[in-house]
Amino acid sequence: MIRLRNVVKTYRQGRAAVPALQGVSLDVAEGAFVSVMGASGSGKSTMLHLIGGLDVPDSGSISVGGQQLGRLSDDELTLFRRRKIGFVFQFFNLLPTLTAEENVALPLLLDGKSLHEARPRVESLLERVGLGARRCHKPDELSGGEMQRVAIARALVVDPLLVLADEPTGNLDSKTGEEILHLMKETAEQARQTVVMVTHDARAAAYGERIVTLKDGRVVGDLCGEEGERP
Amino acid sequence: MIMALRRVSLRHLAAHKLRTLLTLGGIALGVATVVSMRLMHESVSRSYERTVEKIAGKAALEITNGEGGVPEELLAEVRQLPGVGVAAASVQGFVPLPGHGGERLYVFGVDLLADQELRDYQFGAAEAAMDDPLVFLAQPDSIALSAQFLERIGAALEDRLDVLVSSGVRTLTVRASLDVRTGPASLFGGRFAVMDVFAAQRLFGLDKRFTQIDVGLADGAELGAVKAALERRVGGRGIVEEPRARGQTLERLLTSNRYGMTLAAMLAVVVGVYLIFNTMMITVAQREREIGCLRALGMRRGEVLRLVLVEALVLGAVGALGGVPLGYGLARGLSQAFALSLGGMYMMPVDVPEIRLDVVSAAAGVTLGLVGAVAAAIVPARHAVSVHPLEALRPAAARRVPPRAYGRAAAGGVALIAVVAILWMLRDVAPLSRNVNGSLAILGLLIGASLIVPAAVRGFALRVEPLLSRGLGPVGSLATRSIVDHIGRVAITCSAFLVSLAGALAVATWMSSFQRTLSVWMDGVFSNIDLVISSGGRPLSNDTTPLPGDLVAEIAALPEVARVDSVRIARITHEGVPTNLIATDARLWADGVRRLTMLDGTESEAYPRLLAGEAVAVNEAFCARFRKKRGDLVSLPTPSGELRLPITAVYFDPGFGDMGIVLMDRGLYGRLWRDERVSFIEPALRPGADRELVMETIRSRWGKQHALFVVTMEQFRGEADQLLNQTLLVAYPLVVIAIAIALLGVVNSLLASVLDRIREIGVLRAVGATRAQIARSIVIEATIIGLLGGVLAVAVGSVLGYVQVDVLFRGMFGMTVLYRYPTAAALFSLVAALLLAAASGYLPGRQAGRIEIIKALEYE
Ligand SMILES: Nc1ncnc2c1ncn2[C@@H]1O[C@H](COP(=O)(O)OP(=O)(O)OP(=O)(O)O)[C@@H](O)[C@H]1O
Ligand SMILES: [Mg+2]
Repeated sequence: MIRLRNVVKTYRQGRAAVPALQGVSLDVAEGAFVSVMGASGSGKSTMLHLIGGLDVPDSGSISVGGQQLGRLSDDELTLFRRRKIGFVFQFFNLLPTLTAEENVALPLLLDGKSLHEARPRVESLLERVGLGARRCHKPDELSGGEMQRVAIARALVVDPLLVLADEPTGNLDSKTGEEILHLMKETAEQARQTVVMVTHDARAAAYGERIVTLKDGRVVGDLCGEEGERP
Repeated sequence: MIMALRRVSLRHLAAHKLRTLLTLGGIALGVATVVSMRLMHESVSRSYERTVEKIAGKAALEITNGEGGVPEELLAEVRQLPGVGVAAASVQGFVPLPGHGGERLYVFGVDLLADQELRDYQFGAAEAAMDDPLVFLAQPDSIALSAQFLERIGAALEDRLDVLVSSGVRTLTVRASLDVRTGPASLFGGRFAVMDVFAAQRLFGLDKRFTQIDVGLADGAELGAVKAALERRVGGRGIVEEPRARGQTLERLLTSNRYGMTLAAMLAVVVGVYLIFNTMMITVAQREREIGCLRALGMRRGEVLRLVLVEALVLGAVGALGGVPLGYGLARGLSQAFALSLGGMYMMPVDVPEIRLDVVSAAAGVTLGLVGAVAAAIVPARHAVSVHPLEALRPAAARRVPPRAYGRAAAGGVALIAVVAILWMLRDVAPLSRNVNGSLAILGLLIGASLIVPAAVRGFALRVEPLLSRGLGPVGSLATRSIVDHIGRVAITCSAFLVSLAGALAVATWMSSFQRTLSVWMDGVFSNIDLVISSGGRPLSNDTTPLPGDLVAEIAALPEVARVDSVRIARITHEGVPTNLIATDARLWADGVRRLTMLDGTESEAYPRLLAGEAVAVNEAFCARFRKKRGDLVSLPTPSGELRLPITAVYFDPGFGDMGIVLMDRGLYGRLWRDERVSFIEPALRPGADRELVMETIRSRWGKQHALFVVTMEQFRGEADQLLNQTLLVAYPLVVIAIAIALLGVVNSLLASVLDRIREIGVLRAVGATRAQIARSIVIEATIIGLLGGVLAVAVGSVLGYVQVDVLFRGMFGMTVLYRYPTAAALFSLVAALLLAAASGYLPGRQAGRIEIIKALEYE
């Protein structure tokens, strides 16, 4: 499903070069739920962004669902994100001017569907994340947990191959965080989606069946199966 | 404080280079407009003053009387007065040079023996003739030319030179050259000639008259006393003035012109200030978080205030520093056309002005930039101060202005417009002057409209949203949402757009109405005639050479000619202000062949009195300039003494713009001014006569001798129209500048919009919006601003144009102007507003598409 080979990414800040990823190779099977851990600055978000096609690596190759990302133009990459990837961010990143329903529908709307066409799917997703009654609320009228649910619904609306979540619980209290993780795992299993989730929190990471650890832009740990649970 | 400024403000400005640049550009343009207007006016006035001064030399007083001149015998009388040291007569005027296409020469006829005491002529060193002025004087065709001019036309001493005067083409001989470095010979780019005063008198056909007598004081004489004595002696035969005062006549004439220009410049400034306001408002809004942080970290309110104001000052100063040289360049580029159009309009010998950047103009520009910037920053600064430390740290969406506030502002705007509208409708009874009332109306209208804009923008955006989202999907609705969420910013842009476009439309109305008025007037003037005959540089130019009166009778005697109208247009002085005298055959009015459009008074009463030489008629501009009305006495100095006649009628004649006109019978004029010459001969042909043939006959019989222009009435009108368009051409750069500033505002606002929404754009890109979709949404936003701004501008501009025509013409120039709506200009501005606004969305749109998604997502 996901295949990274010797991926290198270096950020330039003025004259200094900041190495974010220094040769990462990784394979993720279809339907897997992978947690990525590591110290702050170890390159977790960078890796996630590269897999999601939000940025391009300096060298190395990335393929997702058999698609070589390096061969895609910006527009093709955009369509790839629109149709194949669902993002969940730490700071929710909902559009403040749109209602919950519209936020969820956004990828479909961008793809040329009307709100009317999108509505059945959007409503069932909002029901599923427990926000059926809050369709018409704007983000500033929702709590953090509710906003993250909306973000999850948005990530799932196109029925993506892959869900990428960057610290989805980082901004929530632990109880709400658990609920969100539960929701993610459950929906991913139902739809047979692959999930890559970055987290700092060991308890959150334990939701994954596999835990990849990064350090200074390199993979330093890769725990699989039952041993991954509650280490 | 300084540290905070350097760190926070300058970094902010540097980080938003494009937007900062646009703001500076806007300020610079506003300042440049004002500076260039000022410089042009100053330099043209100065150039005229210098002309008068150089011609006056050391003379303390001058006796003149317009084109008619002063009687010869006055010179001897003046010389005898106590206190008069030296008195010298001169005859002056421009003459066309038929052999040197388009060149003109200012001929200065002086008494060379007496004049050297007053004026400074440096004759070329090696000229035998000037060793003995008597040799020069003994030959009446002698002329001294500036060395510079000799070189230009490739002539040498003893060469012959043809000049065109009333009696026809005359040949003079160059017998000396003049050094142009000093004295009057340095005027008019060296197009200057000196000859003997009596020879010049004959040349110009001034029978026993001089153009001017210059008086130098005797040692110890007191100016005031001598002036009073001179005035008593001269009586009604001329005007005694100090050269300095004469130099200011152009200045006096220019007041209304200056008012019009100032109005246009003010427009540019208002838009410029708007732009600064716009930028400061955006800057503050964008940095509310930053300011909140600073406040939370212990920055005091006063310090925040100072921070914003100092930032505005820096922007204003830098913008002004760019604007002053820009204005200087603009003035230099336009000065030639400006001087020519003014010189032509007022028939004054205006030298090509030398544009010099004086301290006052530069200071005015800089002050304007600074004051404008600070004034524009006051509201944003107060806004910044009111930011609560905690509130600012909350996300932006939580701080929306309730829509009710926009409704209230709009209601205030409507009320304001209603008040000025009522005031304006009552303008004939209100205790306010027409100008004050009109200015209030214009100001009230603009402010009122600006107050309505936020509600209009909001209403419009909400209304078109369903339409757009149906047609364009989320891209369309995102554009309208962005507008609704940033009403403040969008409204400011829209208002700036509105004000500048409305101003441009008002100028267009002004031009259109002026054209219509002149066209209607010309229909009257040129009715019942077939040909127009004149002589000089070009028909209708200010150097028309009067034709001898005999020619009128000779042309009337042609068998194909049914009747000949003749018109003498002379420049006279009324109360020290150059005024036009039109003398024509009053019998044609009395016989009902020609008619005047009366504004006050009746034809049946006026024509007999004009024919009898008992009264004059004047135009509205004359009444306005000199505060006269029908029945008042007009007093004019003439070579035969003072003329006092009542005004029997006020008639419609905008032919000289805002210059006054005194109309009288040609017989009366000829007697008093001792002048039988005419400026235009206008024959009407018998039915069936072949126009071309008659024109050929006239040309072949008299054409060469008098360098005649014989044209059909239609050709003459065409020429007049062209001249008018040239005069109006000066207004176009202003319109262009106003629109450019408005567009800068739109680009500026959109760039801010991109910044405001950078995170949003990042999210959109992340979840699958293409670059093109993002760019389109920005262009749609721009188009909505342009559409709304354009529609409102056309509405406001139409009213503004109407009011302005009324204020400018009736209030300032005292002219009846026939209003004409500039339909083409209105349609054009509407379409242009849309297209230009959409185009101005392109750059910000592209920028938005290019953002780095990850950085945008992390942007705070
Ligand atoms: N836009 C950028 N410009 C420059 N350097 C960057 C940029 N983004 C990330 N970096 C650097 O790259 C390295 C990896 O960053 P990344 O965000 O992937 O870390 P992370 O593991 O997600 O950290 P955290 O747990 O704090 O989110 C860091 O050293 C960071 O400073
Ligand atoms: Mg991270």
